[in-house]
Amino acid sequence: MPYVQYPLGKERTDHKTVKRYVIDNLNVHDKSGKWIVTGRAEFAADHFTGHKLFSAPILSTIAHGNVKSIDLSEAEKIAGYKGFLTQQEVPGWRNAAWDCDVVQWGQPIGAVIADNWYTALRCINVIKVEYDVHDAVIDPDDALEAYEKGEDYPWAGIVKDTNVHSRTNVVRGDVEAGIAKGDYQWDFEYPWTVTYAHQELEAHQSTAWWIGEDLYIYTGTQDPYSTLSSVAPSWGLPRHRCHIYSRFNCGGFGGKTADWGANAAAAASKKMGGYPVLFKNTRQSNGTGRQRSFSMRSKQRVGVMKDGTITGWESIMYCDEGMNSGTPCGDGIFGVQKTWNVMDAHYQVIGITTNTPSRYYWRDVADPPGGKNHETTLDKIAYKLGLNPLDVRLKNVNPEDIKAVEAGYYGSLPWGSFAIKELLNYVADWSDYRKKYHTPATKTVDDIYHNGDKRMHGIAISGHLDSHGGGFAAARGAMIKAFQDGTFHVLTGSARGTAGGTTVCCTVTAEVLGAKDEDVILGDWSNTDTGLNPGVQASSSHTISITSAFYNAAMEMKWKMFNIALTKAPFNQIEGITMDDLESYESVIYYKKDHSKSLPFSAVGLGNNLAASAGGYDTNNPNNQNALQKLLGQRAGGAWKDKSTQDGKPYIKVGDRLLANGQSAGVLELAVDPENGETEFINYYLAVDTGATIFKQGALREIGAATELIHSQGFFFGDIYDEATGADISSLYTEAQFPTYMDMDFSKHHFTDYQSEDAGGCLGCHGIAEPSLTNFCLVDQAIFSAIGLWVDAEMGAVGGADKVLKALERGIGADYEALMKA
Amino acid sequence: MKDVKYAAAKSFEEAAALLADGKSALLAGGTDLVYGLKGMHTPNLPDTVIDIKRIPNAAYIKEEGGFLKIGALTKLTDIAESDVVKKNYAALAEAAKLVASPELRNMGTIGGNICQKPRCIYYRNEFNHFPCARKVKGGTCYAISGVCRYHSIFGGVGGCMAVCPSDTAPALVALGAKIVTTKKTWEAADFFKVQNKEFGTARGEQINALDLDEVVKEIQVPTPAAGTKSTYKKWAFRKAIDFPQVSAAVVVAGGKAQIALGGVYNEPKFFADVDASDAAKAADTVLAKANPLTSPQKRNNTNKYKVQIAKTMVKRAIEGLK
Repeated sequence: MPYVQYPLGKERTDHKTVKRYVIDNLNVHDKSGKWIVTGRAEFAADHFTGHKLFSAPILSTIAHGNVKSIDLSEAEKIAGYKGFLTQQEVPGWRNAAWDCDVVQWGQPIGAVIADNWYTALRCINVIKVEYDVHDAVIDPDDALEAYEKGEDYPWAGIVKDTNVHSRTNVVRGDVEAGIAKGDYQWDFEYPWTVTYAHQELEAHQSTAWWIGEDLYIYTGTQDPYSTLSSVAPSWGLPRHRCHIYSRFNCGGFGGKTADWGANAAAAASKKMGGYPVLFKNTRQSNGTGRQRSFSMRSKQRVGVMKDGTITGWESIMYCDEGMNSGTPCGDGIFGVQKTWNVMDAHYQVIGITTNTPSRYYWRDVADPPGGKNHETTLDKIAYKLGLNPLDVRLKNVNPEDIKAVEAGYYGSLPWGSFAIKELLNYVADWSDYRKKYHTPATKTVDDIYHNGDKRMHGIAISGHLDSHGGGFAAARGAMIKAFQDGTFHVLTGSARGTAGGTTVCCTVTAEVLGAKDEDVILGDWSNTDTGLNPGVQASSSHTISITSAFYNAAMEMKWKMFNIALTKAPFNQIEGITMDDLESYESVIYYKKDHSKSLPFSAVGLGNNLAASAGGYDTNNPNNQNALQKLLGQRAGGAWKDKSTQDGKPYIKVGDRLLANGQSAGVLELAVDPENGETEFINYYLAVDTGATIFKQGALREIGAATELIHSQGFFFGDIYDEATGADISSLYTEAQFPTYMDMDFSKHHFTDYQSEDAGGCLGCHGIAEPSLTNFCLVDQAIFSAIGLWVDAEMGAVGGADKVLKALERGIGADYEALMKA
Repeated sequence: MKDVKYAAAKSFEEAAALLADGKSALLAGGTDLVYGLKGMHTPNLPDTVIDIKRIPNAAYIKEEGGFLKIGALTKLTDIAESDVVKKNYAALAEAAKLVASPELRNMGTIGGNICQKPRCIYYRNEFNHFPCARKVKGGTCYAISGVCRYHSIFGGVGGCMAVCPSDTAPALVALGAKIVTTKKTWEAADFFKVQNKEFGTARGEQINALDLDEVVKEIQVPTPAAGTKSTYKKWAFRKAIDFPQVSAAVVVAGGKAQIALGGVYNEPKFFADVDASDAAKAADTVLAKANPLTSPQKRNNTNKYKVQIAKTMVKRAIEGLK
């Protein structure tokens, strides 16, 4: 069976693709990746060596209350102490709390400025803070009870007089009638799920300095534009006076949120008269300050026919948002709502605030963990009916005659199931799932593990739609602006200069133009500069969607540049020369037959007035006209928001909102040692719908990396909270149990990109090539398959031996027997 | 990072003299000490660091006078790779090989490995955010009412549930090793006695009974009788760069097993002369007095799993040695 196995290098020979939408042979070299691993890259902390000050945050040690006093007297005695920032001086640090300064343990309440990083830490160690302590709400059940009963319970203080922040309802048809219609009516309940901190190892630091009224920041973010959007208004600056640089910060090298200390660094520098200041998180604040996925508990009620058809589904999800009052917790129902063909349904999410670190959803990988409740419900339905989990899923996908584009992203019909069906069938064949499937707790692995002991064999299958989307992948037009000096600015025109994905636009552009990397920079919105970063690391939505537009735009720019070059020496001296006789490397145009004849880009005289775009920016240019449409137009996928047609074909104009949701399906085989609870991957098959991606290498590597993350989340780590204080005490690397490459056997990871007939997103693509949460659910399901027991999803990895042993106390097969009896 | 003075000693005796102020600590591999200095997780950090890396002739492995003798500054990698250790003292070689990662084993010394600080998710939290009993006079043990997933299953000396995280410590105890210091020669089992009366001071934070001005010079492991077999098993959530949640050093000779468990108590939990004829029964015997924690917290509130893992480990270790 063909598959691509990490490390990559070969493409599948049977790759299922629709050629007319794919640009082949575009190879984006990962130059800055080499610089990073060889030490040539300079990160935010590497600038101004020997000529900067340092700043570090001091964290609250209470979960809810007000800062009463801060005693700096001991810190002031330490040589090298330079000053202190209060919480109020740093924009964004006094969170959106209703009645207090502090709403979580570990919240920054100030920052020391010192001549040395370690001096700053020493100062923090001796600063004494007094608080007015309020009652804290740590447990989400307490928060909910307070909301429901109203009396004698504290509020978390995030929003006024309540702990319930939001309620999302999706109603389709008549849920009661639908459930009643089934041959069976079943209820399932699930406890709070684990939460995961995001970007565990990403560097969070910023160096800021001021020159007059201009603010300059090197920062470890993948999202320089959002940093700009956050920082400039904070200081009352017009955007062109705020300069954000985030070189080499993508994927694992920078945060995805806008402000990893950028404002704190700016505040510290301002206080120091504009002198450069590096703001850097401590180990604890590095962890506590990160976003993390929210946890959920839920009640599921379904009506089911004997053949597995679900006639009605009510899903009530409770979502612990922590101290974040703005998390889109409605995404907890995204998968079930958009995938399964249940026309009588009610999906609800209730968002709860608590005095714990901010929770959010991170689309995928494996996010939100609560979404697995829906997958487990499908599994339970399957087992109760004596069917396998694959057949139940296939029974509930949309009918063949409805395509995603008709279903409509914002319509009421689920559209994700078209690709899910293909993907499920694909991985089932690939892994030989049907042959390997067995009744839970009935099969052992062939190898003898220890002294005659045998391990139990588990197998699971699942397919899921991911919750990528929003405006992330909005392919609103790709513009490349040329300058007289032979450099280019890349303008994505996107609503957000989102994450590191934009950087690949620069890389694609440089590759196509034959320009030096440093000659192509992200030129939009002031001086945000991520021009040297590769999409292999970033690989966000843009990697696969808007990059195609940039490919086109760069081709157009190259066409223009070569045509001008033909009018200049030495090329104008060559008889019969055409554009096809030219080629370009490293920002120089060469005559193919004689490289001694060349012209640097800077001598072409492109001028500021030249611009190229894909998607009709310059509509008078036939080469440019509707170029985006050429790429996208004939095949919009379900994520195409504003349906319009031209000549009977789907038509997408620049500015249309295109989303990048996608699908994946996986099969997991594992072994469980029933004596000590240890689990081991045997095989993990994963197919991710990357759609008509042009950047296949990036997509594949992203899948590979995400596969490892799924493995990590399933078997190793999850946040650990101290319920008495609300402290995240697993932030340190060793305590978080974040695995290393030494913990995984990559030969057991088999993954592939896939292009479904009806892929969901822009270009019919999955935005990021990350497998969605279903594959995390596989761990849960596979353990059940092995031992007939569901593991407790609360805190810590689902596949951890402690969880398995806890389940095994019930006796092998006990949950399966109970399920069948119920 | 704690601001410390630096001094270098040319001999163990000089190092001991420099330690006499009670406010100093030794720097050998530095893999644990520097972590503490950076995180400032305790108020009892040293004011002076005494570098003993340059003490001559302090890194060696040799069999002499009925003992395997290992210099205190011997790198863990060298012990793990030593043919003589692997052949006759397998438990120690296996334990050394399972410490952390290759990089840390290349830096870390056997002396440092038995002198590291306790492992506890509260104790190690930076800036002394959790002033526990081990660090502060009158402090509490947060694990008893909090997250106890990683803690002792045999109760705790002085009410502290932090565990001894050393991989080599159980192996040394099971092998009946002696620890030679600048003051005396300790039996390993006595060496790893936590000094609860000293809780709240630097000495109380140790995983051993060393005086603050006492320096480990040499490890001596008695040459085992013919037919003696030993092994070391380790279980951690991660497969590498992790401390043992449970480990078992087992030495079997003449039908009797000397068993020392790591990661389950403040000290290596030692069981002498256990009947090894029935491995499962031996495992049950060893774990019979285990008393796992269950805290009032709703989630992640027990370390009961460690008991079963330890049982399996002991059983399989004995079976494997037959």
